[in-house]
Amino acid sequence: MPGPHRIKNYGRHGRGDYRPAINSEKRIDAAESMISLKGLKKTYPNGFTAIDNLNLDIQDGSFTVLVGPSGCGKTTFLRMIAGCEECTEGEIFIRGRNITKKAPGDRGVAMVFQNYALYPHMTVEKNISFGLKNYGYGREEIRAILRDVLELVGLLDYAKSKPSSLSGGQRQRVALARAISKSPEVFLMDEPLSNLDARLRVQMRGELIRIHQKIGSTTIYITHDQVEAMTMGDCIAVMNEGAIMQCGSPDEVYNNPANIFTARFIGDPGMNIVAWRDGVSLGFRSSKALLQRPSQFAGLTLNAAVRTREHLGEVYRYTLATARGEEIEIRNDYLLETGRHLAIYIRGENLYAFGADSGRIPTAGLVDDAEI
Amino acid sequence: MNESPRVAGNIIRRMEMRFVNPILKSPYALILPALAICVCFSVIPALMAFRNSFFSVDYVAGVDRFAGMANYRSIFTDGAFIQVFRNTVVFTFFSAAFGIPLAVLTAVFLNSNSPLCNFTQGVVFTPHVISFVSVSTLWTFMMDPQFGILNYALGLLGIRPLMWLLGENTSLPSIIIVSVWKTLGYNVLIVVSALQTIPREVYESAMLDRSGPVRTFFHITLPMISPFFVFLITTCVAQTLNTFDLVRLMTGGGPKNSSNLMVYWIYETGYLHFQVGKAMAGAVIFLFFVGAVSLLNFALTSRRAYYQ
Ligand SMILES: Nc1ncnc2c1ncn2[C@@H]1O[C@H](COP(=O)(O)OP(=O)(O)O)[C@@H](O)[C@H]1O
Ligand SMILES: [Mg+2]
Repeated sequence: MPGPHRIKNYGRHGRGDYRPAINSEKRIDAAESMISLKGLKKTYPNGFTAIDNLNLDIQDGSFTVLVGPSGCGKTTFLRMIAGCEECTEGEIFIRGRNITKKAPGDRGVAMVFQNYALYPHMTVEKNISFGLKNYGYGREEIRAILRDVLELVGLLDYAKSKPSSLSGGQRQRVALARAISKSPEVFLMDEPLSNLDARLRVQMRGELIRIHQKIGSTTIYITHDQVEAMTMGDCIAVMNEGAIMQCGSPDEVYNNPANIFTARFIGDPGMNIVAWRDGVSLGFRSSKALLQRPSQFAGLTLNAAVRTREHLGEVYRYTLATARGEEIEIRNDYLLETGRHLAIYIRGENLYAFGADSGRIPTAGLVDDAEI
Repeated sequence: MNESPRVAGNIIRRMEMRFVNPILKSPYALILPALAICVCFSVIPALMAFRNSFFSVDYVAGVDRFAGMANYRSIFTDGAFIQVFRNTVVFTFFSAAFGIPLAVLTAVFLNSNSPLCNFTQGVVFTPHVISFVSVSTLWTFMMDPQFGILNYALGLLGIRPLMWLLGENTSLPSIIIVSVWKTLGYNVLIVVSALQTIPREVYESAMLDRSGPVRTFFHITLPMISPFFVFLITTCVAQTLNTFDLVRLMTGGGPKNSSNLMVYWIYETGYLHFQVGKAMAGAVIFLFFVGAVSLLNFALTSRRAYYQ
């Protein structure tokens, strides 16, 4: 039975008439969260635990980007939501319904895979209509949906082509159209752009955002690309070793990291972290390091030696080593010789402090005059 | 000291450019070794067979004279040839018709990674590496009408015992069973490797598309492994058309030619009955038949198969 999966009427909206972008008003009235994950755990048959006690709530209509280093369990996590992988423990709710034990096709989710996963022997059209037939749509409905989604991804002229005759970007758009065609409540995308070249990736990034704004389905998007993470999502979930380290707006995870991992992982370059005292570490962004002591300075003075220098064009990128051998990175347009010893200064308000458990602690009054 | 290997290398390179490269540029030079073998062992014998089919040949009596179409006339008036020809077609058709679907089913099961897989894999693949002599002996014992385990099993099911290899109606089906059993392992191996070319994500997409196991099998799995069927059917048909060992070892073509196959008939007629001309006439007809089947086979299967 088709159930709630009715195609949204894209045709009614003109090109410019997008559904409103995910804005704050919408967040407030949608008090319930779209996807709710409670105590999720995945242990593979070989005994490896890829996900451990994962809790996360995802807002209706949001575009959540899941980032984390390779092998941290992102794909596993997404496949569990899709139902392609069983949960060892925990429960998954979509709009309050417990779908933990439901078959993948009955969850109201659609997935776009990194390798497209198109049916290579079917034409573009058949790739999309295969699922629609299984969902119980009639022939006329299928024709209408096909036209809508192919138009949305700009592939109307390719309906009769086989995937093998399409370019990587076109194949990914077919996969996207196939996912959209079923009007899923939840869209899952596993590094959908990582097989594309840089220029196409930028273009597709824009298209994905446009499509998301148009259809408004809740989306979870995996990437390991910093830029994608910061620019695409209205929410970033940072993952490490099968656990969510922090979940928040791009601004928040960048400017207000909850722990050392997030601080180091988000941003290019990641935050510099140096050990201070009593197990407390201090962190600062490269761009906030000053080479001259300002007047009325309160903050951290860091003595270090220049190790390497790279010319990035506008600025130089330096790696410095502290007396304890910790490596930090700064960017500056001064020319510094390698091997030179110098002091760098970071104002108190630009410092972050992390406790012994690597969690964030307040800096207030802590580092008025610290020196390492 | 350091120079001499380099100098030697340069000389070799120059010699190579001078003498070896021109040879390598000619495609016929490259296929010459394979061509020579092919000419010696396939083309010349085929031409000789073709010639002999128009001659009355008797190596013992030293007779070798032109006989026109007499050999061809004799095999078509001889009921045995027609029957053997028909047997061969039936044998080949059913060996493939049972063998390949069975291989696909077994392979799909093996690919599902259930706990029984290793066991099944062993059971299925062992016959492929056992010699035909052992296989034939084993099955001859099992198919023995009086003491064989097959009739015993039929008895348990309340079915009357069969004559198996000794019955005129059962001998051909019996060797079909053995042939299917013997080739299953190889066929399964091909299908399993075909199945492994299908990415896991494609199956997951099908699940998300609400495609059940049967629909997935017919609409995703089968079409995606179809390119391998060209190879599988071609090798299977070529192999079974040329079956000799099974007949030689299990039935000798009997009873009354009911399980005789073409290649054994040629051997029997030429080497046991010393009717070389007649055997060669049969061989020539068979050669054209096999060629036609191969062409047809390839034309049909490659049209249906998709290529990435
Ligand atoms: N089927 C499996 N069996 C055992 N371990 C697996 C399996 N699939 C993935 N893993 C392991 O789980 C971890 C997480 O994998 P994955 O979710 O693919 O990471 P990511 O997508 O973040 O790179 C990896 O260490 C990987 O080796
Ligand atoms: Mg992954």
